[in-house]
Amino acid sequence: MKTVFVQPDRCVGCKQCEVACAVEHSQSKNLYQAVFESPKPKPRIFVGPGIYLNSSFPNKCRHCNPAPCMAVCPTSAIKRTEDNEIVLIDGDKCINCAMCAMVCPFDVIRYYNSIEAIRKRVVALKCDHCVARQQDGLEPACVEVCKVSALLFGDINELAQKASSKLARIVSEIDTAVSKEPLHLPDHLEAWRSWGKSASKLAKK
Amino acid sequence: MKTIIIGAGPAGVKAAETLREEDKKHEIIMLSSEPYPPYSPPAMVQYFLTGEALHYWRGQDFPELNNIDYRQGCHVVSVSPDMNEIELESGEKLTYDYLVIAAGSRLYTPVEGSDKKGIHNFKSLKAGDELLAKVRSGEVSSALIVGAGFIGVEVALMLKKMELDVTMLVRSRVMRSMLDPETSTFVQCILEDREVKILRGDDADAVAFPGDNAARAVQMKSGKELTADLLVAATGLKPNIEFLSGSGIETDWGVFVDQYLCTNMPNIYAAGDITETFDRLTGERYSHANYPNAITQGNLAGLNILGYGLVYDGSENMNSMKHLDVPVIAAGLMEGEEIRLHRNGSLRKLWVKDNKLVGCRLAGDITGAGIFINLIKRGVDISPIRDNLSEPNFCYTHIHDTALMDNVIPS
Ligand SMILES: Cc1cc2nc3c(=O)[nH]c(=O)nc-3n(C[C@H](O)[C@H](O)[C@H](O)COP(=O)(O)OP(=O)(O)OC[C@H]3O[C@@H](n4cnc5c(N)ncnc54)[C@H](O)[C@@H]3O)c2cc1C
Ligand code: SF4
Ligand code: SF4
Repeated sequence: MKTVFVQPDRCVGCKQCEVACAVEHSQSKNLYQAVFESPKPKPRIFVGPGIYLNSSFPNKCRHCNPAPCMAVCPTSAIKRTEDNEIVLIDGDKCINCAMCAMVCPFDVIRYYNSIEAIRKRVVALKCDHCVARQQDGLEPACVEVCKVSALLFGDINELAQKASSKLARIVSEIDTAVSKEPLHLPDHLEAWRSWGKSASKLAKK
Repeated sequence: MKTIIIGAGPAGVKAAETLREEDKKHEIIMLSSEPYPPYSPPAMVQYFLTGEALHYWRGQDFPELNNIDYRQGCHVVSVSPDMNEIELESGEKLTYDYLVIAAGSRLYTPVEGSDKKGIHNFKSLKAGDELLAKVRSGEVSSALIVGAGFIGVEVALMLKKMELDVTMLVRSRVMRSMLDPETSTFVQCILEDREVKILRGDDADAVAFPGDNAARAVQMKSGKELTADLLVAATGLKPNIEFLSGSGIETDWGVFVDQYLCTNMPNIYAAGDITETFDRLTGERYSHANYPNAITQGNLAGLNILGYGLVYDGSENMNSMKHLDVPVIAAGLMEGEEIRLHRNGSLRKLWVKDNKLVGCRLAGDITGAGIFINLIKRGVDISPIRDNLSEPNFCYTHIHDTALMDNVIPS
């Protein structure tokens, strides 16, 4: 499967991904028009400051499996795509109850008026892995715009082979992100896991 | 194998879903005393306001799709564990190999005369339908709501949106058990901005519903009486355990369960609002009535019936306010050292004890909620980010920088 890989050490905090994400989720899909739209398009990736002066981290939905947000949604507005890869929120079903935001350990859900919901009401919004672009054979907007390869898009196994040890961290993050769950580990997470483990071993040698 | 599930709320539905997912052949009977398909209470207000049937959240055809023998309008009156049998109001008896008790909770009113006619509540879809029938009859223009907990506030906002003149009677303060005094005042101000009238103190401390057959008013501790076209009680919740009396199934406030969510009878499990479990943080026995706990427990009960032997790690004290148009969330405790940030119309409070985050109350701006709640759940030592917590732009990067994230795992 293809996914967005984060190489946090490379991120320089330029926030280009935030802009690209907001534009991609606008009505016009054009930066200069998007800024005048109502509701105002918002990003679903967040590059915030950290402990150190220059720290930054492109934070977005990890499309967890199992996904805590999906389990607590009292209207079943959060679903996984049939191929199991992407966790999506259906704005039409969202009642803006904030249960999902309370359980997402990565804090990547925000609430805004959205063109994706009937009557443009306030609904939960998060990264959709640019499903629409992917259907057109394009990579997600954030990846396309990232000039330092902090965000990569591709097949997990291939990227894992090419990646530097910097990836070990983020991979093991996903590793721990699912290890407590007893059931239903999908293939792609097995891949994340086994790669994370072998990479950590290599790093120790 | 045959399992009977009493109740078709989130806990019962999740138990059924899990049993079906794991075992295609398991015979499942699900009973609800209400005459509807399985529904999710948190979506009721949206349904009554807009007509969107979001409360049938698993679909009205959930039972057929999952090969569940679903019987609505079937009230269980007793359970006989020694015969593995339950009895319905109609007199019909059903036998089971396993039983899941997921009958939820209902309105609890310590106010005299609360069983009189004319007192509405909003704890179930049936109660909601009755309340709305009255509102839609066009005969009501004012409402008096006794109690200002979570459901009281939600009903008040709903009725206000339906253009009723709404007054809330609040003995102590708005959402006392969920919010600290300052956040409570914050919410009260929002309610008052929405033109919900709030009365507090002895003049608002309801002690009785006077009236011969039907309640005609609410009587306060001060002796004063108040009335409105619509009287709504939202004074608290009580697990629906009456039908278990005499069954030998151990209950106190709710149904007692062990770490596997099993009752004192080996083949009888309980899940959701009806159970009395323990708080994940404090270990105290408690019923935290919320949707996530109902789902987790329903799932676990289902898995344990199938022999997984999974241990429950405690219920979570968390909730959020809907329909205020301002986000408000509450999780964990309100004790220890307080960290406070009041800025741009938002109020954010965290509580730290022994270098651990133990609670949060966020109003207006809830960014970071998921991080805080996961730190609370995991009991992570937050010393590395202690000073950053009160910064307005605290975010996940802080967790990343300090590698605290290795402990921040979904559950
Ligand atoms: C208005 C409202 C809004 C809410 N909003 C939120 C929210 O935003 N977030 C959140 O986390 N939680 C919310 N909650 C709480 C949440 O809905 C409950 O915690 C959850 O529904 C509990 O699920 P349950 O299955 O245990 O019980 P219930 O949902 O109460 O279901 C109980 C079921 O048992 C049936 N039953 C009862 N007695 C019998 C009997 N003797 N025989 C047969 N059947 C019986 C009932 O008909 C029903 O089907 C809200 C609740 C209400 C009322
Ligand atoms: S929103 Fe959060 S919990 Fe849900 S899938 Fe994305 S990262 Fe996981
Ligand atoms: S805010 Fe919306 S998507 Fe999130 S849990 Fe509530 S209804 Fe579901």
